[in-house]
Amino acid sequence: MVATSIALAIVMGGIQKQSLPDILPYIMAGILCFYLPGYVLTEAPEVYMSSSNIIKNHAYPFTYYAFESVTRVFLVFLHNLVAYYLAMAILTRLAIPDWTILPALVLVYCNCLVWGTLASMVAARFRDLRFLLPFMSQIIFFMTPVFWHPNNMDGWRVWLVRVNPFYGLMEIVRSPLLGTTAPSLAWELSAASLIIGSLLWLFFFSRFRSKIPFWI
Amino acid sequence: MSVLIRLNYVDLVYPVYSVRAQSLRNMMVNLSVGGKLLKDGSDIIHVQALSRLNFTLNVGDRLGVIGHNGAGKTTLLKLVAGIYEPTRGHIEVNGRISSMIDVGLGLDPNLTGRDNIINMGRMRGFTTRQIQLQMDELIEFSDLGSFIDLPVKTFSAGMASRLVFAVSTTLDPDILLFDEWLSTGDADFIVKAKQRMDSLLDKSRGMILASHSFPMIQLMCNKLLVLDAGEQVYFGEVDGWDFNSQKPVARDVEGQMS
Repeated sequence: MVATSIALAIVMGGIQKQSLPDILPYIMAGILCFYLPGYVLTEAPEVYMSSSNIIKNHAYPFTYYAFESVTRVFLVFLHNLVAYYLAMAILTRLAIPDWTILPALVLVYCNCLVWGTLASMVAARFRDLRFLLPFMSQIIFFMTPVFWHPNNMDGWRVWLVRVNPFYGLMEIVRSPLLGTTAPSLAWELSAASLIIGSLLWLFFFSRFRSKIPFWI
Repeated sequence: MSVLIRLNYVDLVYPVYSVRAQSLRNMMVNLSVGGKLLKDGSDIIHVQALSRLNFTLNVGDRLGVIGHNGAGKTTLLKLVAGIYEPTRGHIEVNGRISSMIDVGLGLDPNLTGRDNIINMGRMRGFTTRQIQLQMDELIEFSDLGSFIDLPVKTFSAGMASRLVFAVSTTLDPDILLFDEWLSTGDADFIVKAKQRMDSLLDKSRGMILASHSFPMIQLMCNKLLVLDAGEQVYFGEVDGWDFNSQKPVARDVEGQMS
């Protein structure tokens, strides 16, 4: 995580004519926060597959596996936060997180749960998605303002930001982490994504839950 | 007597997906050509695993399930355990299931036996403290000795099944499900397990045992279910089935006819 952010900071700092201590916190926090919603594409597809042994032998609720994996991702996030603050201390760019980080983390957690469950289910049913979705996460990483600034986009390219739920879910955590508040667009995107995700989850999870043991 | 498990004309059909049906890309291609390639129905095969099972177990019953390979024994256990939901019919289970359908379920090969006991216990809903209290009894019963502190990947199949057997029978057994659990244990352990099963009959409220070993079923069970290709051939007292001729005992048939 640290190495990637430094590499990106060197390149992007050169392109955007910014000094390293200015751009590194933004990129580092971006990668850190993108990891949370990125769970839906990277780790969620493996959830039911990797616990297939247990699913085929015990009737534990399927939500358990989702809770377990999302919680693991959040623990890794907290773990990475230590590295982030160490780097900030070295760069003397320490910032006190804004209080909105707390509701933001809750919102991201819920988003990960519903969308992650959906991703786990389709990936269990259609095996080729196990390769497609992690690959998609790389593309989305480049198309999301993780290491570039949304203001630098103009014309039709602003839609990369405006309808990108990954931007919303990343930004509501990153801005507070950098000591500012997230733009309302980010909150709207996150909330909309949670509402749509929950509706889809309610429909698909209740309908196809009983088929999961046959899929894996 | 109160009902422990009741199956009411339960059918279970399960889909088997071919490699082609597991690919979203293929499905998209099929949709764009009007689904012609899927029309023959060979990509998703539906298997009628159980049909019209209808029986009731009361508290204290021990059911033995026999049948050929593929008759649906394991599927029935998984159905009772709640892993599969019935396609038709209704199933009622009043109690906690402690299953030992597949050895190695939830065993983490890299953790030690002791850590795996805690894991399995936690998965069954016990606190670490409750598990620690029964740890000594558990380890003693499993007869693993100092192996308990080695990673499970070093265990033989028999040792792993002893560990799982010890856990599923020690931690508050209520309804026990066993699928051929003795086949991998050695002779000493089978004797020990049988003793344990006898003492368990007081503690647990019911048991379902799927096995090919007729003597064991005659020894341990009072009820018998005979499955053939997913159909219920016989359900009733163990004495009512003639294990040699594979038919119900003659007097029972007469009894039913008269």
